[in-house]
Amino acid sequence: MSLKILDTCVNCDVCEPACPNKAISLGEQFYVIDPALCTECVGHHDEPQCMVVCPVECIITDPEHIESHDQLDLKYRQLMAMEPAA
Amino acid sequence: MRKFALLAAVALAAALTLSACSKHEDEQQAASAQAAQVTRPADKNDTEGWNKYLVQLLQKNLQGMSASQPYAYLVTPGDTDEAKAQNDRQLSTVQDTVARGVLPGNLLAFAGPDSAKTADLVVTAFTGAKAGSFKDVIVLFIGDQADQQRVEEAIKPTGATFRFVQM
Ligand code: SF4
Ligand code: SF4
Repeated sequence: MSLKILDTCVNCDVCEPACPNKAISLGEQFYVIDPALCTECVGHHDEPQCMVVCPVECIITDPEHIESHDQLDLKYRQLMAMEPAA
Repeated sequence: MRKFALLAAVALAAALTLSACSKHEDEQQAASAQAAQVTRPADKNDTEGWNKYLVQLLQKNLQGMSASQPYAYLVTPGDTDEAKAQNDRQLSTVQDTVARGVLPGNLLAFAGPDSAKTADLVVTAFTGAKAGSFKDVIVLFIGDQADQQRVEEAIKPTGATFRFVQM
């Protein structure tokens, strides 16, 4: 599953720099997560970093984007392959 | 608005429940509400604890906001390179916002464990702001009394409604 931000978000921007996949950005009214980029932090961390840092606990798993650990791992590998070489 | 309709419904339900309760139950409710409160962290570097505490203060002071969400600007304490980079990024975001102006009904909140640092950011960001560009916008400063006046003066020309909350 990718994660989803609820409308109780206070636009504090704390989650955005914590995301290793640059999946979080400011949407029209509050912050949003791009499901194409969110791996639930698989490949980077043991737990979703945005959930760890969000002070209002308004980030949940998104039932509309259900993915297994293997699918998330594959997404992580694909994202890494797309990264420009340093 | 949705959030406010919900908050109003919750407040009404709470009022009705309280009026029907015995004093003992009132005390129990108060005690459990107290338990849910985030207390002010003693360590300035407890970033997660401070963010939770400051956002809790913000959520208690949203009166008059008609936008669906507030905008919280949390200023990082300390003088590490990381803190400096974060605050430079924060300052440039706020300066862009000030230059663009903000629609009426919005609420911008500024807070951080180091009140003077938060106040410095607000004063720098609002220097040269266009007169009247924040009309009917609420600017909330969560900090120490010692910094209240200079923040209030810095935002005054914009026409914003200033609100101070002691942290
Ligand atoms: S779970 Fe991880 S990858 Fe997904 S949005 Fe949160 S921080 Fe980014
Ligand atoms: S950390 Fe939470 S409240 Fe802050 S912008 Fe991200 S989702 Fe919104």
